[in-house]
Amino acid sequence: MHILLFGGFLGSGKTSVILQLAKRITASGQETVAIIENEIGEDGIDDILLSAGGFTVKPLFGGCVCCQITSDLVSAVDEISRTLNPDWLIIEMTGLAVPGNVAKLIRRYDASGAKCKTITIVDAGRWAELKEVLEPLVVSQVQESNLIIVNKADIAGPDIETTIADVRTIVGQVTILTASAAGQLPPELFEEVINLE
Amino acid sequence: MARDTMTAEERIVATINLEPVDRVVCAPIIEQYAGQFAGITNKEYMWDWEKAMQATEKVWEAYPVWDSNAYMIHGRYAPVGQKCGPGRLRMPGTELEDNAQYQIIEYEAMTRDDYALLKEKGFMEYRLTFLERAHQVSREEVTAAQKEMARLRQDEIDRTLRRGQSLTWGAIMGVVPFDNFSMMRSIDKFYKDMFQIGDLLDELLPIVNNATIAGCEAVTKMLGNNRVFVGAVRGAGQFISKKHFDRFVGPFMKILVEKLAEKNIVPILHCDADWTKNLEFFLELPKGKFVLELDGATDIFKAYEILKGHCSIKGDVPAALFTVASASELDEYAKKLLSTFKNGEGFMYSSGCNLPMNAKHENVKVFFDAVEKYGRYN
Repeated sequence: MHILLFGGFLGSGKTSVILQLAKRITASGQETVAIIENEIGEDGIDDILLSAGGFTVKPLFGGCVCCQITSDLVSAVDEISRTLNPDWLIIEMTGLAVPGNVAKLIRRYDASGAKCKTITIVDAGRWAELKEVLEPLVVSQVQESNLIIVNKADIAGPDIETTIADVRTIVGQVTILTASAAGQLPPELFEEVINLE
Repeated sequence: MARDTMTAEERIVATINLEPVDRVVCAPIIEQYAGQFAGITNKEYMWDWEKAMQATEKVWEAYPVWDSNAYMIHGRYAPVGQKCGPGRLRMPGTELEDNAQYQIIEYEAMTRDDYALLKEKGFMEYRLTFLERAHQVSREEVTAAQKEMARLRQDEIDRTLRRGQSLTWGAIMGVVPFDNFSMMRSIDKFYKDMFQIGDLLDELLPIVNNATIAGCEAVTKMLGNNRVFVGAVRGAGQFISKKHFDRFVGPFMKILVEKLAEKNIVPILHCDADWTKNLEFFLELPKGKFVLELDGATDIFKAYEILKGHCSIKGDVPAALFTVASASELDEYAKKLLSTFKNGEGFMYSSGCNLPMNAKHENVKVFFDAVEKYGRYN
């Protein structure tokens, strides 16, 4: 089992990317995908969207017990590994989670020994605004990620270059891709995610 | 084995005053774990008050070293929680599977236009409007549920005192003003407010803060206990920059603690998430007049270095140590905690936030056993 852990602030486009990625992986009928959907917002919208795509989705909620969610996530990974054992487990974190921290806990406690990689989606249209108000959160989300996808390139305008340069100063040599997940994502992006080392 | 020479109340008061005690205060937030321990579903725990109380009693009977009850179920108990709880709640047995933990759903129940309403009507009046909207019930249902919640709180208090435990806090007074707005507006909307209408927030945050202070004063008088729970999450350095903390969070926490100290009220600042970057700030709050409760995300050992001798610190065995770690890992962590903080340095031993309902029973036993092993001073 391979684990792909997606982070990024609320509304950055995580669900759109995950939906396309899961369809791509399962298109040949050779590999299976399960999804853990960790939400904090209104009644399971992303959960419904992903379930409608025909994937096994395990919702995991934050709310007042958000401090427990990371350990619940490890338990959920363990349960899925034992019961479904999919080829790929995709985890969508809440917009407030720090993927690098969650990955550390999974690597420490997950008994399946699955490889866990983190991908953070950056909202190109709001990076500057988010960084102004929530700098510690959005910076920590991209730090320690294995791959960055700067999303909403279609609506970001010329500022996208500034965003990419700013993210680059935080992540160093980590690969940064651009995307517009509202439309069809390019095959190269899927290849990059699937072959992430 | 040495015996307790202080009552639970004497122990917690001495701890807050940074004075020596016979053994460490043990004050985990048990809540939904009690149902699992007692062998009932979480549906039964959340919907049947008597069963919930009996389950809590069973935990105490098994672990009488648990001497301070950090109780909060009266505000989440489904029949009242779904009418006046802190936000929209989904419950086991109705919206969720029978043994699922309850969930708080955050959404934009408060619109940006409502800031004007809050300014006009005051926070407590607006809060009722928010609760009507969040729970989709009438004003009458909200106020009736609040009365019932107060009755249940008194029941929890009575049962706690009968067991000889102290009340970690008398009442739960919600959250600091920043978190109130963040949760009522939802974080996605509220961050935009901070960015776009910060001046309006500057005007409104004191209104909410003053209402919270007045509420604390009223409830402590009514209950005859001078400790209150005040939560804080979203203003942590994990989320917002120091610039915004210094504008929207810190000043109001400082005023809150100072004003409460003047009235001899001790807030237990329940700080979820990672406040490590903010630890120096707590030195600005009056010495020995508050408790800093940490949930395992903040570096409590750093907190010890910075705040030793300044305030009581409560915490912080992390949820993961109860649910996915081995019992020996928990024991190791408890030993580190209880040997770092020395007698007279104001430590209260606790779970970080709620003890998870899916905690391993053997780990919970190790948690309680650690009190005698590492936290006995006499």
